[in-house]
Amino acid sequence: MKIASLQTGIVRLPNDEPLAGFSENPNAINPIVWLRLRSDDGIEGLGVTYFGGALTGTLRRAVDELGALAIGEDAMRVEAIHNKLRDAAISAGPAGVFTMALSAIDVALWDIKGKALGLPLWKLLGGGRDRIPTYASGALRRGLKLEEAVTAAGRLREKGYRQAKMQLGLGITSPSREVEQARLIREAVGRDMDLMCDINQRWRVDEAIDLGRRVEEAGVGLYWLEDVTTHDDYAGIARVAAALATPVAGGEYLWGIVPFRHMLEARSVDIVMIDQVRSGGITPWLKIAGMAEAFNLPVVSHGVPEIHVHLVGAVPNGLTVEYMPRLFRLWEEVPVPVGGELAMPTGPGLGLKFSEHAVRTFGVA
Amino acid sequence: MKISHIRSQILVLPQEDPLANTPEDASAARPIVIVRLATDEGAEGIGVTFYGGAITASLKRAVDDLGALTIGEDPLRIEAIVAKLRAAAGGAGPAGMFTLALSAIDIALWDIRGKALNQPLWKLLGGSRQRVATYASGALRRNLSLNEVVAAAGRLKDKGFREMKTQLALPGDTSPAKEVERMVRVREAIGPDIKLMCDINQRWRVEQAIDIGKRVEDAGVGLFWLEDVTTHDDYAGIARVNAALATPICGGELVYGIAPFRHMIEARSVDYVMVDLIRVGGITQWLKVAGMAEAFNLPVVSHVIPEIHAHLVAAVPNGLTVEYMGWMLRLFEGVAALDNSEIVLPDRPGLGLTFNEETVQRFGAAA
Repeated sequence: MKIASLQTGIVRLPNDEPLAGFSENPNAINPIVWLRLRSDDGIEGLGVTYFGGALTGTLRRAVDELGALAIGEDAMRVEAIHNKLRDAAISAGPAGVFTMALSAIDVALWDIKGKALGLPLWKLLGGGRDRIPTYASGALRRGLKLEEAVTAAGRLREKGYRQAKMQLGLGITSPSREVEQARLIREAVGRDMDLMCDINQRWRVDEAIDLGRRVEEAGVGLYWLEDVTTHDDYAGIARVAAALATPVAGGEYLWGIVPFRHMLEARSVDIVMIDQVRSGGITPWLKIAGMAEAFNLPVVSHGVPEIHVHLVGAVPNGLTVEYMPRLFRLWEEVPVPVGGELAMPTGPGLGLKFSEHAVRTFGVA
Repeated sequence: MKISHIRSQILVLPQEDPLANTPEDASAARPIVIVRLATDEGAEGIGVTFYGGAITASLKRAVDDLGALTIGEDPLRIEAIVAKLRAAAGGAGPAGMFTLALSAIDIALWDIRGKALNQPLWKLLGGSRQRVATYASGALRRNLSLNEVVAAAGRLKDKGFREMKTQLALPGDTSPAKEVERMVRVREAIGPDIKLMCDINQRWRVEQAIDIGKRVEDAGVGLFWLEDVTTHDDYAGIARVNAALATPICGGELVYGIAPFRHMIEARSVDYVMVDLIRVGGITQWLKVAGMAEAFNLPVVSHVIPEIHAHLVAAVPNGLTVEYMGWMLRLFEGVAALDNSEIVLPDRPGLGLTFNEETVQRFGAAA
């Protein structure tokens, strides 16, 4: 089975917030590159990539160029295609636009593989679980007013979520204001929900230790504290992890497998977050998950639950899937949580279809 | 698809060296356990395990006990089955007999998977390349006399092998000078262009490994790697040897499961990670170790049973070479051919192997 053709496009999706209804910035746009990769026997694999920002046109071009190199190759031999594309890119990789483009191709190859073999990806990749916990994300952002965030937190609880993520690192603020935010959101979701908190690299190491301890002393009971400081300050993050009782999560900003090794060796985190776009696709995602298992650490996903559900569900150390709806409009249908869990998809491959309506409505020429 | 039936058997294979015809002990036997897993849809997977020694009957029983727990499970959900068996084994794992038995089942599950999906394993697992380097192993052992080992090395070269492994830490009355002389003579016999590995099988102390390793370097032997230089789990000790020598250090065949590999790799013990799919817990765990090694920028190599390992080394991007050890060649039909000192992976689905029923009949132990 050979790769015969590919087609790419860009959609500019609106930045709405369907989980609890308060968008941090309703006028913002999320540009996404989509990919259809076709085999000579008519199987179509889908991939997406993003984080391109103002360079999204460049990112699409990179997917086109790398995709062209994949034509004629055996779609089942994913590692061989990785080797070829890496060699061809020379110094344009690793990391950055090259890796983001590679991810889209890797995901499409896995989608083809799953469809050719008639298996949903989670099963093809190990089939660890029937169902996997998921947490509401993106609904309790730091840009919301405090009243909005508290209202949104209550809505998530009413909707049946058992885990939800908020954010701190509020900006020009005081430690007591940060603690207050965490305390009020905890009150709104109740004692029984797992509450995660993302700092998105906004604290210094000393701040993270100080504020993290204050949040602990206020009895907020965080499930994890995420990206507490600059993502590649592995020693700095390790200092925070050592100082706090709260588990520390991180990894979404890391490119490829080697930086994950550096992070794990430094004992920076208790929970390893892997992003299928920045890690380079499903192939490296799985290698990182296996390495994390050897370090006795659980893995969690970043973004696109419609793809990540397969990966977190496949491996034995998958903990929970970030339910982040940012790309949902792009698909005809996406997995929906029931009782705070996602059931494993049943269709072959990713089990996803692009919404032609979305491609037309939000597509750019 | 569900697993419907399991059947295991002990075979007592003769110790033979089909590569250069230098068996270590022609009267000795090598007991192994073979397993066949059947499914309700007809696909059958085969697996094998060994290292059971005098407790091979116990190993067979462990395969049977674990195999019984897989009946009714979906064979495609290997991680779910591994999780079930681990939980069921309680304190009997990790490591040891539990892991040896688990590996046989894991291999059979992957064979079923490849057959059910109609894909050869090397391709299903990544398909980096269809040809993979291999080295002759088991023919140039330490118990051979100097003349025997030199002659056997020449025979391997004549047969077309471009990589081969010998052993040091000689039995009986040896000295650093004798150890070095043997390596010089073997190197002379094969010429400068053949990759020569040397296995110590944990027989040196750390300071001995550094001393003799340096002497072999000074004599200009040019080893491709030096393997298992001292006790396998003395990660810091192996790392000392590694730091002291220019020769690459190889190790890992004695390591059970993935977490000990992490300890070994974190300690910078080795330059080449040798993974044994029987001790690591099967194909599922072998691949995890290979991925971790890739993150440490290290190549992986295999330990024995090339019939299965060739799929794995060929699949991953950091696969370096396959140990061509002839222990089980007569167990299988469909063993990949050697071509110009490389293994060419088959296009048949799964492992692409069947048990040689004549061998099973002839060497099968009474139940």
